[in-house]
Amino acid sequence: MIMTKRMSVCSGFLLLVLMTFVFFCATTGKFVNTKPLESPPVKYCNDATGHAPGSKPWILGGTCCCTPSPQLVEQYHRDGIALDLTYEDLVRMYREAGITTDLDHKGCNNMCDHGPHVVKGGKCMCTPTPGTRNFEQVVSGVFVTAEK
Amino acid sequence: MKHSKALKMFSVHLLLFALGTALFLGCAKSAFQKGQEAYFKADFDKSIEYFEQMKTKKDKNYVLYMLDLGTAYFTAGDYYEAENAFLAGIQTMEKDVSEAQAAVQLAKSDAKKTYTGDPHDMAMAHVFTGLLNMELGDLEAAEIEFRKALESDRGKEEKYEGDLCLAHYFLGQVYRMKGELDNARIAFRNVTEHRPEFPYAWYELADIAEQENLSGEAETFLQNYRDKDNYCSLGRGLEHDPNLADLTIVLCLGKGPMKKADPFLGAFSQVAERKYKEEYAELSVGGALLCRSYQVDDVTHQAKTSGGFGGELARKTAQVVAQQALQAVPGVGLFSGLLLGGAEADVRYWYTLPGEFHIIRGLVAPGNYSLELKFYDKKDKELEGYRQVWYYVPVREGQSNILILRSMLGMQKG
Repeated sequence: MIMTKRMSVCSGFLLLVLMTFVFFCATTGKFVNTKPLESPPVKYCNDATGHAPGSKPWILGGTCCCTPSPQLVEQYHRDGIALDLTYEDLVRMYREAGITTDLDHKGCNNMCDHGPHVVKGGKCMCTPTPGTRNFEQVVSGVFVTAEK
Repeated sequence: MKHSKALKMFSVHLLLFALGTALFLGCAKSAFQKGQEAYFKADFDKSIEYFEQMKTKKDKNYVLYMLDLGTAYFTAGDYYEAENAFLAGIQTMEKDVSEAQAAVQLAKSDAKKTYTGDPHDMAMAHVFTGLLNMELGDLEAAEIEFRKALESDRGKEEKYEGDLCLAHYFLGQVYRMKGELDNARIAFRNVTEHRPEFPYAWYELADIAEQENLSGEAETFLQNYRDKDNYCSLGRGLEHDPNLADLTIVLCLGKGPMKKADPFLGAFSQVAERKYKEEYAELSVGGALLCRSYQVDDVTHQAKTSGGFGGELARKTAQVVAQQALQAVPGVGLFSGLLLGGAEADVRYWYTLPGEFHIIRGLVAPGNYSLELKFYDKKDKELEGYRQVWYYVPVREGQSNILILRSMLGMQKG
């Protein structure tokens, strides 16, 4: 009888130690960042990455998310893309589609009311902020789910 | 007999329920605390969600909500909302309270009082706003914010007034971009006076002296730079290679200071250091080691040396007098402590503030790069779980390529 009591006390103590250990491991687990140095290729260009020659504007079904500018339209023309498109047309098309660009506001990292980024299914095409997860997801086109 | 057994069981259940409820209430965290926890788990979206809930409350801790919300948006890269949050916090800190409000505030205990910020809170909020404006390319706004940061940096002693080197350094950069070399020289001089071990200000002084054909002075400053930056990531000389562009990384490192009650004068709070492991970081660009980070500001030191002790002493004395006067009023005296709280210390602080600001600079060929940051402790041992890799970081010619990052355990889990 005495042995049984001792045993129950010991097993209770062991259980407590085990639980403390499990709690400790769960709260202080080590993180290891195995992110490789080689990045996935640029799928969608923007003002930060620079325009990828040959890419069509997003609004025309392409992968260029650069902010409309007269220079950008000239570049499209040099690449043989949308030869009859003017800068004014391009701005109008984005506005009519309800897509915001850096011409409307800057620095939101696509977290504004129009967000997420068009690439992720939203209505914001403002240049994302480099050095953030959102920037990498938008440029690579690799992300788990399109929010919103 | 049966009744007595049932009564016993009921009592046990009641006791267990009461204990459970007390435990639950004790452990229940506010959205504010949950937001702070989510921030240091690098879940910025969640953190913002929680802080946004608090924003609508507009209670006595509104300033703290705004400062934490601003930091969360800032780290998540939403500079637009970060600026709104910081400005809301700054405006509340600047707001003059009416005489009636002041009298009520005076009698209240610090914990119940509306948080109006410490001098270093105000200075840091301006620093963040200045940084985000630099990043957005709004030089005028950045200049205004860095100037305000220095104006709000009130020191315990005169030597600590306006000693925020990050603000001086970026003011210098703004002046250089605007072609105001005299102002730029003064700004960089201020950095070298307050923090002579910081190398990049010496380089800037050398470059300005070279532009003004003061070659002897330029060589002295350049030697100082070379002595302090073993990597010489800006070059050993002052010749500008047109094929290279300047990359600057502002690194928000560690955790900012906390406040605790003074062990001797319990009614006063004192600034205390929060523990963190990161000492410095090393930067590799495109797989090649470029340089290490250099501390430009120690936020805990800034908080410890910020002014306001005299003000706090006067406020505390007035508070005790006001409470004693209330206690003397018949019928109120007994309840005054309950209504106003004791004269305990105010230990509220800006939880998400970094502990240090570091800068890493280097010259690289224009392009998009993968950056790797490795963090080290005091013993130069690499810290596991702190490593960060960022893709497609743009470095453009003729632009101020500034990237703002934060050190954090598990920032990139995987």
